[in-house]
Amino acid sequence: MTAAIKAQDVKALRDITGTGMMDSKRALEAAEGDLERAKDWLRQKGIARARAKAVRVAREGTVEVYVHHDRQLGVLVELNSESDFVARTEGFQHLAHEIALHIAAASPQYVRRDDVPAELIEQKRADFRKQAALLNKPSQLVEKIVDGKLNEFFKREVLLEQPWTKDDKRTVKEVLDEAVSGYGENITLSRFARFRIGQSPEVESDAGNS
Amino acid sequence: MPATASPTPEGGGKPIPAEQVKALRDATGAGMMDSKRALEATNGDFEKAKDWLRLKGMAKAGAKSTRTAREGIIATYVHHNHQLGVLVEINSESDFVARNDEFRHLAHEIAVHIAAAEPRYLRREDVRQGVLDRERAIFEAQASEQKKPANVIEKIVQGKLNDFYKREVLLDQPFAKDDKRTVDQLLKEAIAKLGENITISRFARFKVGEAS
Repeated sequence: MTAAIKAQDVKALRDITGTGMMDSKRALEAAEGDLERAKDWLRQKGIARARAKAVRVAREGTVEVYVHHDRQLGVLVELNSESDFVARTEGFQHLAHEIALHIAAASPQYVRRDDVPAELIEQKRADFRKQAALLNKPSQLVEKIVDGKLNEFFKREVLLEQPWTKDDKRTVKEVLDEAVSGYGENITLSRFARFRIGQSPEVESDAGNS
Repeated sequence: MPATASPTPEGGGKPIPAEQVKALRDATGAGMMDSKRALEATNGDFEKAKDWLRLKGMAKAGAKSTRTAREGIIATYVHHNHQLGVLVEINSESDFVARNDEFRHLAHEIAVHIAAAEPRYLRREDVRQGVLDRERAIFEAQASEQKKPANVIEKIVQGKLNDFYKREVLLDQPFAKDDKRTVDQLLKEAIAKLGENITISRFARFKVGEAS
């Protein structure tokens, strides 16, 4: 007996691949309900195109760029709203621009704390603990010092936790929260890229190989 | 009598009129001596001489492409409705070339290309092995359904993998404004012209609502 195919899986596969209901169902049956294998099956049969549509998330927003006048530094950022209406307002576009400027100046590495790799946090924790141990303090105090240093690290590297460059009494997250209450809809910062000439990992590894 | 006719070293070839040398220089930006040599090597055939210079330039570009390029500029493109944006780093060896108008124009063209052609990777090496294995498995399954001999199947699979690279890898993509050249060839031509290694080291392309 084959596994029962769930209607929402059929719908999800249709949305991703743009194929018909019956084909999507057959693909899922052939793949025993595995969505990824079903996608491959559809391509093997020549039903789905090679380039499936990128996964759409329900969000509106704006993409803003900033490039320094000497072209040695550039920033790309996506700021999202729930409605197209809010995304098109001047205030929203201005906020996106200000955030791009902030990223250029404050050089964050991550959008949010969750984006920091767990191994890096563990490594930082171990380093801070080693430093704190030199102070000969009781262990619960050492842990407090370690937590404090870790928070400083997040404030330095995580965009949402950085002090806003134009007013360092607020964090970037607080600036966004104010926009949320101003517009009455959720405002999120989904991603950014910040390039500085000669700082790409590729350039570094090229140098290592030569 | 024609204005000036420079005799060729071999004596047997046609003399190359100076105005032709000048026309070739103007058309290609190559030096006087190279233009003359190109016309001599192609018996004064203007179009062939252009190809000759291009090939020579390409050979030079090949030699330069191993040199490290760490100067450069960041080029950006943002669609007027702010739903799509591109950031790209293009490198040269010297600050001098990085400030050159032609270099800056190239950087802009590449940013626009990335916006239009949606590459996912910079170079072939950037495609993860898992992704490649999966593509290969699909192509093999497709090809084996056609009941062809194994060596033919392997050729079909190889061809499809090449199509995959042409679609997803920036350097392998046909240039959006002139699909007879790939982006890599465009860079090689710029190397030949500007006399320095030129590379793309990274890019980012954001479209609103598209998962990264």
